Amino acid sequence: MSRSVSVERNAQPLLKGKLSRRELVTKLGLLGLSPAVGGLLAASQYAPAAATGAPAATSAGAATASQDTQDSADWRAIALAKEAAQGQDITLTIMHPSGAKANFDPLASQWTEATGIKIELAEAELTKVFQRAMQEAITKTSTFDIYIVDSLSVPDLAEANLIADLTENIQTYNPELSSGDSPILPPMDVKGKYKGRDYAIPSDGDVYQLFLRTDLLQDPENQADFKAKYGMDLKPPETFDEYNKQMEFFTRADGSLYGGANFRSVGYAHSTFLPLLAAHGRFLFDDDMHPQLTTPEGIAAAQEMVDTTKFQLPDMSTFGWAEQYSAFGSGRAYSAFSWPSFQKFNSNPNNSKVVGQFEPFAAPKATVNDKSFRVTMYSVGWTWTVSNYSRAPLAAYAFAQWMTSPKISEVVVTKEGVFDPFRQGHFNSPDIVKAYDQAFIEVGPVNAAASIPDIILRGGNEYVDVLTRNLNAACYTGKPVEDALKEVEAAWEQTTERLGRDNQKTAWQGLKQAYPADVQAAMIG
Amino acid sequence: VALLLIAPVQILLLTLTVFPFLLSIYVSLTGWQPQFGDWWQAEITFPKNYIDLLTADKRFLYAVARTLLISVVCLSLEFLLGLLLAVTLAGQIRGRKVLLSVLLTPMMMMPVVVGYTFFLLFQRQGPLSALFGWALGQPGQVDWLSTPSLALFGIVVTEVWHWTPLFMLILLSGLTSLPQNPIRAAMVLGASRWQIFWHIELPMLTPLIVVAFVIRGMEVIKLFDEVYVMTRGGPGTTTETISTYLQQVAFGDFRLGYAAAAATVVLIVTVVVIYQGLRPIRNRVTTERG
Repeated sequence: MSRSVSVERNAQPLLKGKLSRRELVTKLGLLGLSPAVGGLLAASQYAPAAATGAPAATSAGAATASQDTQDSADWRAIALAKEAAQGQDITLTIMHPSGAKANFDPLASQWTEATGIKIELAEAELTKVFQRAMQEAITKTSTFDIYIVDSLSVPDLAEANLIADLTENIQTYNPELSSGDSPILPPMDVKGKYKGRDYAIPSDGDVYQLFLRTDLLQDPENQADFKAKYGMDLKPPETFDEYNKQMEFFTRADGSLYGGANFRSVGYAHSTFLPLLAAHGRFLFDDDMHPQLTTPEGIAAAQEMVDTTKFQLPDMSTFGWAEQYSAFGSGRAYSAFSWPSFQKFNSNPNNSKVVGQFEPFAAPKATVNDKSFRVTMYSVGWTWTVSNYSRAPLAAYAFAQWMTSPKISEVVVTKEGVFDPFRQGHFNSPDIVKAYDQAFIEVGPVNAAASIPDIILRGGNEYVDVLTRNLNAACYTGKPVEDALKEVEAAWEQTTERLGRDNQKTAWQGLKQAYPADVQAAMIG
Repeated sequence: VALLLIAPVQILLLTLTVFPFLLSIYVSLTGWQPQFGDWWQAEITFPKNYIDLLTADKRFLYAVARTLLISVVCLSLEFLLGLLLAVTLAGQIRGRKVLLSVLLTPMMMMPVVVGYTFFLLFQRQGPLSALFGWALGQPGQVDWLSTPSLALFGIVVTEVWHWTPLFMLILLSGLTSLPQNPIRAAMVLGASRWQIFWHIELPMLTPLIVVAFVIRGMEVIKLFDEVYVMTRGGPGTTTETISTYLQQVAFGDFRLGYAAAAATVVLIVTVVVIYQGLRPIRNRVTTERG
């Protein structure tokens, strides 16, 4: 800590731009940079910013660089990294999901310029990240310093002792998860917590938006027909019932158009079910970790999902995210709940026939016990974790903090990759408006505030697999909803017993806090 | 001296094969999950895993039964089609070399590629639906992969398309290398083409047919890629095979002790089936030696 303070003090005049070249080199030396590195930085257009931890690689970075930068998350990360790297040749290896490589460009090289710490990227197939990481937990190699994993995997990786408890680091170096000018939008800010401890830094606003085809929604003929049929206006749906009616309305008998492209497949169906369950007023578990799926509310939620299956694209039975994106782009569906990157994908004319014909909207509202609340899903949500077996854990943590800091993450999320806006400041950034859409800028924070978490518990993947298989069976094989949910409950009880009920109860109590406050307040139990 | 010379290789082989096998057996006796610590710290729970698998885990038992069903259907179809193609190609037909190359192509493709290709073909609005619609004279939209029986059918079709060439290749090589004297003798004695095939060629091909069945049998029982890509075992678990089930338990749930037990059970079943399958060859070898 004292070293950090001295680093900050030495950096201060540099930030204010009052140094001569000689002083600059001297100060850089005190910061742990060799004159050679100092010379490199001085020669670089990003040098002053990089040296102060405020990279000016992009307009966003440049625009936000200010004299108070030394007290920002990225600056502290750079200072920490230099401290950690002193006299050492460090290369950090990062296991990232496929598709994220672009997010590191050109930031990784800027980081290396500023700190001397090299970055190596190792890709893992998007759906196999958890598997690859767990294999590392078994083999205990120090191959990877950082794992970028989905939030669902964090508890298992923590329990397997693969990822480090970052609580102390977060308290000491403050990555501004919930503080500063651009905090992570709540309740996403607590998605890296497990049993009250911080194991991951959230870095991805993977909140489901409700995408609607505006050309169909605003068509006067559709509006008149809808009004005649249902006695209500055709407008962005305010309730789930209204949304279901719209899906029914737009489902054509000849199969040319379907009301929705919402998930029903194995591994995905829970992201449709969990918001419905909350909308009916139930948490997944009671306080003793007994599932609440066969409650009247649970059955009603699953039945609603089954009943609206006929309004979905038939192939949603097997579709994952990539197929969903493409299917919507083909113009065969009126709506879809999906991630923000759906917007980027379908705004590209190479991918989509509906460019400019759809927009994201706020998730519908539910009313339970006279309490009204919006609810949508936070699913996947890539987070940064540090390996317990890393040879340079502090440097690894520093890089994670730097990449997820308000300024740098603003650059990260504009790239074609896997990360979506997650900090408050992202929604004010012109670059992000350009990369996404003005409508998303307006509606993104509303949906973030309404997002409920995945089953982020130990055994999360196991809970999800059993649930999604049975929902899938209920939707497509005629399996009675109650039987399907009973089967899930029986399997979940076994899982909970095997993993330790007390341990799971503690984790569940923590996870409930990641539900939006208005959702928590409205739940029956 | 001889023992000393081969010892390094023997030790290496033992290390690479026997040790992992023994470790797998040991792990199957425990309730090991990496979330609980290392494998050597795991509590031995034998025979719980095995009892659960064989008495309580319906999903596993259904996966085994389904895999056996798929295996029987696929092997039968692949054999019949492979034999038909082999007999056709063994004759004097035009473009034989080109046809052979084309027919062998599926076998050279990676299973995951085949799976994804058929996943696209079997979409509701995909080409196969269109073809059916055209054949039936009405726009066809068949929910191939969302309907349990059709999804299973789709997997069988994919598997048969992919691996029939293996049967064809093995049987063709057998047919072209059969001793010609018995065939010529039969022809001289006035046997028909069918009689020659049925009474001479087919019996002489028996060892090769058995080998083809054993090789493919060992493969089809491990069927994974196509199922994973096309249905992920769904709808529900209606197309789940042993391998997709094991993949989920081992690498989704990371219940490695339980998965090891399931793998051991499957290994025993496979060895017994293959052992029985090889009996005709063993009997023949024994007879010839005797």
